[in-house]
Amino acid sequence: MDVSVELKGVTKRFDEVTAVDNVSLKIRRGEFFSLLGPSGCGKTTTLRLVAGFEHPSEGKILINNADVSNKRPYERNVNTVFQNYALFPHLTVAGNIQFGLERKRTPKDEMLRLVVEALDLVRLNYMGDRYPHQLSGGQQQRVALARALILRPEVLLLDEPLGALDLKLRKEMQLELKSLQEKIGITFIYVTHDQEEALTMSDRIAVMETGRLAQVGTAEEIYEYPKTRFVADFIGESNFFSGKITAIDDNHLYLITDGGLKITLPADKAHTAGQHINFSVRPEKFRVEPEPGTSDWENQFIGEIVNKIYLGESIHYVIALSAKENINVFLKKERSGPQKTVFSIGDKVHVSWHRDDSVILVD
Amino acid sequence: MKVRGFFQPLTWFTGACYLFLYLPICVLVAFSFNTSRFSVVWRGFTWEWYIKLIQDPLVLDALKNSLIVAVVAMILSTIIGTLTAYGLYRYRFRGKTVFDGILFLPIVTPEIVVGISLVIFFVLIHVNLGLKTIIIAHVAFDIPFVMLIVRARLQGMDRTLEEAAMDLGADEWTTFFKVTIPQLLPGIIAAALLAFTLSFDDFVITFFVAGVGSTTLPLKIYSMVRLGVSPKINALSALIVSVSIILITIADRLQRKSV
Repeated sequence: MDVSVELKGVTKRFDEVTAVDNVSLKIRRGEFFSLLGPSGCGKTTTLRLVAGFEHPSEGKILINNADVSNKRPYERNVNTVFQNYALFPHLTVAGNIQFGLERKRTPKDEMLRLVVEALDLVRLNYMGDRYPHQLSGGQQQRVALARALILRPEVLLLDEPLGALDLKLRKEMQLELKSLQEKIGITFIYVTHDQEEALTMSDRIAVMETGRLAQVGTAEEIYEYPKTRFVADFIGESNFFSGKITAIDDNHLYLITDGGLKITLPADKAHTAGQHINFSVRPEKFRVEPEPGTSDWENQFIGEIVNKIYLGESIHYVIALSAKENINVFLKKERSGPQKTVFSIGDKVHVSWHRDDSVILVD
Repeated sequence: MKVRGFFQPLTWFTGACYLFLYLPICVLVAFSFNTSRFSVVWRGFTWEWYIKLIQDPLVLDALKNSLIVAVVAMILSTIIGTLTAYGLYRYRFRGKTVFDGILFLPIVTPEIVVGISLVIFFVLIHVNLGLKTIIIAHVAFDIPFVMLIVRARLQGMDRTLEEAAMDLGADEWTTFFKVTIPQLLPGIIAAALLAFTLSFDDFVITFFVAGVGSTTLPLKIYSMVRLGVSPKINALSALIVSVSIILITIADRLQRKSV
């Protein structure tokens, strides 16, 4: 594997607080890698450690296989796009973009050519003479991007760069950033608390919780196979169950939930009968029908609709499966077809799901 | 806008307050153009006193001293004060809150106390009183004012700008000169102008630390007054007031101007 950035057991303490706790990561060259988590999970500190604004209390940081743990920010071949852009207000757009080139003492004519090229890359042609305060938020964001990219860093670090933009512009910039990254092939490390943003853009995602890595994987791995309750809850929505294993065979694991539901799960060698485990099911994995019999999935229960929330593209139902267990179900609203999918509160319905859609969680 | 009730007398009160503050100065300026040698009666307009003033070699000498002291004290105190304020802002160390707190102390200490303590200090270290000691004293009392103004500017500065500069390859030194200083510049200029004014106008401390041949303008006025108030003094005072007002107005404008 061609590794661009590697963290080896990195810990960062601020006085009493441990912001980053024993994080080990390998980020491939040319990868769009996201650090995702709620505020205070240590994702920004991790980014600042790679940038060199902070130095690890323990562990090592390698960029391009060289140990940079104690190098200053200006000694590292990485550049950062800041959350508030941090454009120099006393310099023009061109002045901002060429700031890094001036530090490298790039010849004047080459600098001019590179600045024009960079402005073109972020579609800000002929804006070079303006000052940052004369630009819109989206334009400032692109200047920050151009300023960082013009130095052709080994890694580009982005700290919630779209956080200050409105929703529509943010969606546009997500796609633009992703295609830009594919075009130039530089490794991106992207910090965000927005799970949808991470799922849309990333090749791989690291979900962080209280300074630790909760799970690292592709968007699909993380969404379909969350390892912990935290991940299942933070990425998308989930229904959580806990129960006691009654039997295990080659293909199946049978358990009885706390509310008395007998459930079939995929076999898992790590567990034994009698153990208590947690598992989750995504709300869109359920089939809900007025009549029994059409579904051949293993888990079939009769439930009662207790709440209904109209979401536009789908309807969110809360269905009671037992005295203790309510599930959240998202159903697409279809007016035609074999399935009647519009129910009312109080309706008795047949709920079923496939055993493979139950994901066993480690805690 | 119609003002009623309690607020009506309040506006008169405010007006009276400003009158109290500025009337004496206005009278002084007005009488500096008075033809009469005895300041109390208005006899007509003249530039005579100003012309006499610039022909007086002793006054010109005092002016020269004042300018030398004010300019040198301004430059030194601005550099020292700016760097100290930046150091206090940038680095964490033990007792930092104490240093922040005692910043105001020299400002509220009575000038006469500062003056006496400086004289004793200079005598103890065997330094002859003169322009040099005046400059040292002025630098000392200018520094807290410079620090206060620069600190206010620093607190409004975006810390990530310095990080961005380092991220783009600038070392600490380059970052300070290319990013930090330009950000602080309005504050630094305002502080310098204030330092100049304070130094140019100072009487009490200068009175203690001045030596033979180092008479500054305020000291010169004082010695002239002892021989009787003449319109020449009015003219000189009017000039000092004008210079001070102009500099302070510029300083105030700069400080308000935010990036």
